[in-house]
Amino acid sequence: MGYPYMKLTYVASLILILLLGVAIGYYVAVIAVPPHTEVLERVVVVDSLGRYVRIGNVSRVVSLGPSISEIVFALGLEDYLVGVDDFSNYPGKLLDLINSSRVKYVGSWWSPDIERVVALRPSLVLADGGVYRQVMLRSKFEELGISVLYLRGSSCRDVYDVVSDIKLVGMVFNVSGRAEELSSYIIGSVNNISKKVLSVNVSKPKVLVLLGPPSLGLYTAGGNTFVGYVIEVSGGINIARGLSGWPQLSYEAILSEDPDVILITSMGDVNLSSMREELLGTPLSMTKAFREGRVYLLTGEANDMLVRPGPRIHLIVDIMSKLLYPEVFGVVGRSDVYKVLG
Amino acid sequence: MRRYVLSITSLTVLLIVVFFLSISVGVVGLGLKEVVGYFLGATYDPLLKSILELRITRTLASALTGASLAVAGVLIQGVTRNPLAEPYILGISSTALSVTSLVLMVKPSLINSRTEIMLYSFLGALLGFTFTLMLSRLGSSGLSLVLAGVAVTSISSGISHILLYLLQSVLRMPYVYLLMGSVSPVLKSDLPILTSTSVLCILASLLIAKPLNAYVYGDEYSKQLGFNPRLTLLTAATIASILTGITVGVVGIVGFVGLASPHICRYLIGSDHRFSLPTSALVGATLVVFSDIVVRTVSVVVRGLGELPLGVITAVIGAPFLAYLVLRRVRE
Repeated sequence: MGYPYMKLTYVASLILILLLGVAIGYYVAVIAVPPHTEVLERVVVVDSLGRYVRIGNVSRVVSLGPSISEIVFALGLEDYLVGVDDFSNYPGKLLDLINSSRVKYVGSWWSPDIERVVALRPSLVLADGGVYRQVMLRSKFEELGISVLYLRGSSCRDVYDVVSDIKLVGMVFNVSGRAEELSSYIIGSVNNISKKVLSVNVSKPKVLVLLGPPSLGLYTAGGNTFVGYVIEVSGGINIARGLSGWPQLSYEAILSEDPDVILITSMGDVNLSSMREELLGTPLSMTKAFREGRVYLLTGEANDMLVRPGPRIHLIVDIMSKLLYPEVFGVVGRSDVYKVLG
Repeated sequence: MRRYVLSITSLTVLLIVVFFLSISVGVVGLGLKEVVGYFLGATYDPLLKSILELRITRTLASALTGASLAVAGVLIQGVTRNPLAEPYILGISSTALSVTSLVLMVKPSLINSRTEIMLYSFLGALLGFTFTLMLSRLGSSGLSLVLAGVAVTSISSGISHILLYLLQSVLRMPYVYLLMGSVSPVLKSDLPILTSTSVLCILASLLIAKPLNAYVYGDEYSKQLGFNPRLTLLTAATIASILTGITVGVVGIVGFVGLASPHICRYLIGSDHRFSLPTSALVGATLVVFSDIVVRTVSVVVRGLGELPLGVITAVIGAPFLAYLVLRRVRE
């Protein structure tokens, strides 16, 4: 029987043709040139991904990160804003603009909807270089001919990273003076606190930060995170400072470190008594922090400021220093910071 | 035969309808007139043009992904003589992920280069298939292929999970997102690769349809008819892996389509591979395009969720339909 497609040579050549098809497709794709939109260069900047970005005249801006939206407002650039991500919630003026539909939501921060961004006809998109999905969409933005600038955003680790974002935005919008002022103020405030902390004659407290209640898992922030930095610069010792990223701890590890202060962050609604009950039922109740009543719950804006590296960094450092050294800096009088015990 | 012609025509019509629906649905509602006009060469303002291009890219990518995975599913189910088999069992998805995460750990800046990442995913997928082949001694039987596939998938799944966990601190994101496929980052320039590979492979699979028909009845039967079962196995498995590999590279991991589409099309027109291969392609394409419509609709309507992963929606849509078919068959 002469079925040709059963001969080995036939099959082998078939497979070769298939792989050739892949190769051809790849070749065509690689030499396909994306559309070049002619931009009248006003300034060329280098963004956090190391790209040279040519900025022309900017009139409509979309921000893809909550800290980025805060920077835009902090520099007084809110008139340019036409779109923000779902997580952006500060300052209050932003919520007014959204309610009056002058600014629209474009999807979630960790997965923005590119169509909604395009629908707003932005002249510049300020993206968060710390979010994988946003970095992945880079080629898509470029293909569509949309100018996108990647800030450090959520990948900021310390006050200098935040300030570099602020200055970059200032450069792009020609408000470098304002950016410089704001940056010096923020750095100055943070340095003041850290200097004062260094001169304090008390041993540094050991701090445990729990991201969410213990029932969710004992997630903490490692030394190379923004939270780790805030603790460090406020004069605390993060018990997870030797770890990186957002690891999970065990009760044993926590008890062997015996933290002096425990901070719990919470995003949603707060039920203080149920949190207290939950904590009393865990081994955390055997820590020094518990015995001395130094367990705090950060909610609302305080929570946002701690987990979001932005222009309010000096405020959260101030709050943290008060929590760690109340005898030096005073007691925290904010409604969104709760003392869980006592 | 009449049943086949009926099914093919209605599925093609359905696909065309869903295709155009997919291009019109979204934040900026587009009417049928504008969509058709675009194809006929009418000019629009840049915004409309961008939105149309975005949607057409997505829809084409979804359709091709669905068709590829569905055809791969039919081939794999035939070759392993197992109706529960699906394209990723030959060690394809986990090895692709392992290779990609390893590469990203060694050179994190590669995240900026989409084409390179795609290439590594595709090569990783083929590498996984090669390991499976080697382990099953070049496909000595369908069963050995499945078992080898399970072994390779398990090993590389473990490796990929470890690597992805470590990669979390490099990429600063929960690693589950890397596991989820999505059509939105697909570029226009990715479409030639996807199209050429998928179309060529699907056409090639039609050539293997007759031998595959004989193969499912057993090695002996197949030999008596003059076919070489081993060669059938190898060819079909290779075509299936190339198809799956290219979708993993371009779109990512989209589950369930490869499992459900062959069943749906078998329910429609039976198990003759000459008919089930093209029908399954249409079913798969329609399923994934429709899932993408759902993804986009949810993103517009529900705040704070962002874009859901495509694989989740394909499962949510496909599973009840499959359950319905199974129930109907069981009742008979």
